[in-house]
Amino acid sequence: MECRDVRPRLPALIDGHLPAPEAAAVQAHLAACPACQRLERQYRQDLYDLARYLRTAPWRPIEQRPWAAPRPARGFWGAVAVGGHRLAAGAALVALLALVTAAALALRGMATTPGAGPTPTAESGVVATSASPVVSGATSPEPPLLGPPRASQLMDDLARAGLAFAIDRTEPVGSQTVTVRRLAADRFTTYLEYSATAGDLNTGHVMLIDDRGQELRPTIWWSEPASAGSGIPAAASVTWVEFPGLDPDVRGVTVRFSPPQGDPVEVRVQVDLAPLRALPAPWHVRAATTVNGVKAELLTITRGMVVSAIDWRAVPVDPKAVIPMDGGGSLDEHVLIEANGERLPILRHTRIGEDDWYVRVWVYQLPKTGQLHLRLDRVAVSGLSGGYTTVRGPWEFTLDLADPGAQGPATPPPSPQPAGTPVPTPAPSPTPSAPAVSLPADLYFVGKPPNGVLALWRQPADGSAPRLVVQGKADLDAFWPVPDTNQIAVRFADNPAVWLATADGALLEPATMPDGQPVAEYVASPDGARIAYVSLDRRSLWVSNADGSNLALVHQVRIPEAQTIHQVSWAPRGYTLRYEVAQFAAGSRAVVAVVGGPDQTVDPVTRELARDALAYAWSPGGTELAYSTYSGIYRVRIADGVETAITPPALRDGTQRALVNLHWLRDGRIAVVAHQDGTVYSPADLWLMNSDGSDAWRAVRDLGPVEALRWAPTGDGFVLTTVGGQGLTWYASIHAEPVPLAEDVTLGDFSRLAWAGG
Amino acid sequence: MERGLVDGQRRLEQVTETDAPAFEAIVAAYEAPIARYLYGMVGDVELARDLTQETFLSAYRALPSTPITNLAGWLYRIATNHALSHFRRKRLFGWVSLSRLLAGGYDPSVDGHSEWVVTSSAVEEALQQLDPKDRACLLLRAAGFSSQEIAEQLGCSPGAARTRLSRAREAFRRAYHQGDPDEEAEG
Repeated sequence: MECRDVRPRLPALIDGHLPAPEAAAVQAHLAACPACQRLERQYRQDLYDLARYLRTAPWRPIEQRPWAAPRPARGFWGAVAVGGHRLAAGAALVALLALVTAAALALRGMATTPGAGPTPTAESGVVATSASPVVSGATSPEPPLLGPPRASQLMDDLARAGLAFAIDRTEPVGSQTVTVRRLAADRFTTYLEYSATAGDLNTGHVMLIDDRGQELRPTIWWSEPASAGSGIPAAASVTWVEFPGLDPDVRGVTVRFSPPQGDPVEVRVQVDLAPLRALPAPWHVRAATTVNGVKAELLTITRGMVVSAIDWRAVPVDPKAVIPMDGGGSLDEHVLIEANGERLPILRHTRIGEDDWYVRVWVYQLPKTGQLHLRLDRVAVSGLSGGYTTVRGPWEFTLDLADPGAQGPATPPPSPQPAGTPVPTPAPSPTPSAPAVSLPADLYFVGKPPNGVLALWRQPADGSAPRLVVQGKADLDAFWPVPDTNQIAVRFADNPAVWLATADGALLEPATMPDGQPVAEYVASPDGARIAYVSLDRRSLWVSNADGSNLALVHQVRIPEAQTIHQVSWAPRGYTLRYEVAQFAAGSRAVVAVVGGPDQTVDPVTRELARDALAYAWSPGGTELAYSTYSGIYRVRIADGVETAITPPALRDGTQRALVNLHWLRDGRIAVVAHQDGTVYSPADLWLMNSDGSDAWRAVRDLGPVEALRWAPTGDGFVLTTVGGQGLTWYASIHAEPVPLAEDVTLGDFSRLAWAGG
Repeated sequence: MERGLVDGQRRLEQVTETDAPAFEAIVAAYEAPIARYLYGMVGDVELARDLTQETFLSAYRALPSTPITNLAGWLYRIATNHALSHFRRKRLFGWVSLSRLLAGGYDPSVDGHSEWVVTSSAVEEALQQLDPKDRACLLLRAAGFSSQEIAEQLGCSPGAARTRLSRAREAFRRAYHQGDPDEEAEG
């Protein structure tokens, strides 16, 4: 090996990631090469310095400790006693507490709890049914089975499909003798059946590990005393445990029992899950019907070998038409699923999301052909009055199960066509077919061509395939369409300066100030008459007319060693700028600057906002600015700086949420995306409200972990991206079905969107 | 109201309840490491404290209903998500290096931010030149996590985590040793 081969491998060598033969070759080279030895020492020293840095970095204690509130009736350790995974959490905590001297008393008080067996309680999510075997426990907040068939029958069914694997091995596990009988797999669920000599072994002590090292933990289990003639000692019990589904490519599974005392015991089983690969892809039905102001949507049917999932949700679309009613009874009493005239057993239902009536119903033995009839007699919707409101239906759907969309094996999405990599060069779109959609304008977005870096794309308004506009050698960092021109300003990660490109992909020239200085931001006003420039060192903000005349300084940072200017945006009308001044160790503050008309001498008037904001929205006339924080929404009058809190009561419940993607619609209402917690990784809803915060309502639910959302210039619809998602999703209105666009384009982190022409 | 719905809602409410002393013990053990890690991510003591606050609030809400086998890994994952989420929202402001601040005579106490303490300006100066995910990767490694755990925390495959870690180590090394006579000679 030469130095050039060794050096890229040094980090992996130090971290122990190099395969043994490669590591030996690198070590051999190191022994004889002082220069590479020095590099290796640097890598090791770096990690040491970083570790020391993490031990000495400054920090300040947090202020809010809501867990110091009065102890609830059922505590954390109660949960530990009930559920297997909670037991695991408890075990980790016990280990932690052993290290925390101050927690010694707490540790003593809890010593006996984790070892206790599962105790069916109302809080544990256990519902006993009259049919045997008796449900013994559940580790998930999901409701348990609502009716037959049971796990044993499911495993028999899967055996007939070639998806159950006999084990029949007896091992001592702690103080018990356990016979592991069989393992079975369906699309969503893996089942394990075992017997134990003395009661059921707490499922917190059982896990599966597939041949890729993926650990699966129990979700639900049942136990029953061994029946006569089963070949199991009478004192023993039989336990069935449900785990999440296995990947169909898995070939081997290890069942691991970890008793409270004694060594873990492992049993390996070979599996062949090929039948699962033949299951059809999820069928996105997207049928909807509205009754009494509530729209019920049948979303997806995902077929399993024995157990299939039907997803649906109900949302109020016309709050005035909703007629609340007193209701009673559980979900299964109000959901009827029939196939070819016969009622299908509902195994259980799972509510998806925390505050939405979005339900997955698990049904047994869904036929492959014939008519499927689904009837919801009543549903409960949230968001109308703070809690749930029950509404009478019925909402009915009838489907042909032989629909082509429901059949055929799952196929991977079409492979993106390799894009040309000349820099920058427009490339044909990877999307082969155009969806039937009409956007109000073309849309720019940042995405990644196959094997490429982040680049600028343009999604045509007619819904046809997206076009690659410009691609550099490094990721596209930022872009600004220039109104009324064929140009777009772009900046790449490897160069702090902005360049101008044409919409057809040609890089033209560096974008500069009138005096020829390169800039870090180049932002044209919506009417194209003025340009705002952030200097390359980000210490000053300038503005000029589009022809370069009237160049004027808007802001020079007060502490040039510590402050920088970012994220300039223009008001939709007039000539007002909003930008942020970031200061090291002090966060950032937004500043608003009125910079006059196109023919006026610039006389900037600046005003600093009171808080650090997460998102901003200009009023349609540009005379006010709304902004959001973790705790609320505010509006500021530009003329005099008067600020008003407009957070609607529904968003003032004390929960810290990321309130982002704020938009002030043309009709005067304000739209905001509210996440369930302080991150953009949590599911989000779209809220609409009047500009004073009144009449707020959750207009669109469960948009997923929204990253960027841009309303159409008309205010009728919006397009969004989600964290970690592919492509774009277009909603023609808040009531419209979502339409995927540019599905084959990977967006990368920090996705950005902008409508062409404003 | 439907009984099933009420039951489901009640269950969700119940799993958000936790035992105060037990959770406070977690906070006591992890507050400083998490806050320091977040400071390394964002370079701002106050912001790091806010993100630490968010981290423990999220953990407090999620703990009873979340499968956990690695408490530290889980907490760092929440912290990383909050930090990266911050960068997503704030669109990655550039940092100003501490050494430049000090060289420029900047006195943070004048501007009301006297709490910050400079201990490792060269480390910070190098860290700030990394992509946020690379920065997280490197700091998590320095905090003692394996590449498998880092993969779980960043939501990527172990292979991708190893690649990112190698890239981050190289980028950090170049930045950290910039100006070293040997490094200059190395080119």
